[in-house]
Amino acid sequence: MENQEKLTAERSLEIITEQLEQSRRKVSKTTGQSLFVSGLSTMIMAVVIGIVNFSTKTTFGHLLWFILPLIIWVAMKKIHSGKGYTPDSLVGSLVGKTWWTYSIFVVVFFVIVLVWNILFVRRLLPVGDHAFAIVDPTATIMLLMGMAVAITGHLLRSSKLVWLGIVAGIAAFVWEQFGIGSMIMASCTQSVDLFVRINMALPCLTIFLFVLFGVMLPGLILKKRNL
Amino acid sequence: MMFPTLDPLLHSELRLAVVSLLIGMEEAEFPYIKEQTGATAGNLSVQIEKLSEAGYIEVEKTFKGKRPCTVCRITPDGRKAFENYVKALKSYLKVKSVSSAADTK
Repeated sequence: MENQEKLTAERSLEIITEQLEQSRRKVSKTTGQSLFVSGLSTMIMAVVIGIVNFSTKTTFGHLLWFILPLIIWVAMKKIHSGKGYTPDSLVGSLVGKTWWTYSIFVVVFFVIVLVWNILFVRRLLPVGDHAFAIVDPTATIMLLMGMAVAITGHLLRSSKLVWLGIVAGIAAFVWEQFGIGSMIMASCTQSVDLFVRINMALPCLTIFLFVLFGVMLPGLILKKRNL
Repeated sequence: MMFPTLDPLLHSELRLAVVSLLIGMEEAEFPYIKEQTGATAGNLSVQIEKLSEAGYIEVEKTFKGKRPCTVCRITPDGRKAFENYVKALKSYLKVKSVSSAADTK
């Protein structure tokens, strides 16, 4: 590879493009795989929590979300073990930092909402002149996740990922924040007991659908694109 | 039309491939660079040494367990040199395409 005299400007450009393209493909593939695995784990968890909430008529199943990062971490370790050394690319590290920031925001927000809903609204704050609303974390978490997916798309130059993130994030936010699912259920269900049960599990359905279209499918697209 | 001359240190297939590879990475180990560029270990060592002497890349010799491990990363000078090389290349190709268009007329 050392024939300096014959190196033309076109060949130089070809070498540069080849190396940069190779690196971009590798990052896209790894990110696609990560999105796919995280999405699949989240969807399975949403089904489990939905079943728990439906059968117990409570929202305590949501506490299971805290073990999701551990499940994803173990799955990633298993997938990447024995695959040899892959250096950290700048784009890959930016994608990683985006999702790390998202996780910090979500965990802190979720804890604040839990403390607010369980401790303040239900126990400490007086009921009377002032009404304190219970905060539903799902809508905001979905919106943040849509943003993280869209930023990942921008970094990987995948317009499909950008648009899936934006559309899925906003759609999930509107659906959850304005209780559209509950309204539809209320008009379809006669039994109060069934309505309450479905209402407890409904956020899990929103998460399932959002993750399917906003995380898992984009992950699959990225994975296939770079095979 | 004048255009900047191409940096002779980067105007070599292997050295250019190494710098192009490192430009998008935080760092890379020697075997990985060897695999990606398809170069022989001896040739790659020589070219890495030249880039390191010019201050374009930083070479760190460490250990991974008991195995020796050479890690390379691009320096700010190397990044700047690469940017200038690409700029020069672009202006050269622009001049070439203009002159070939004039020839066909």
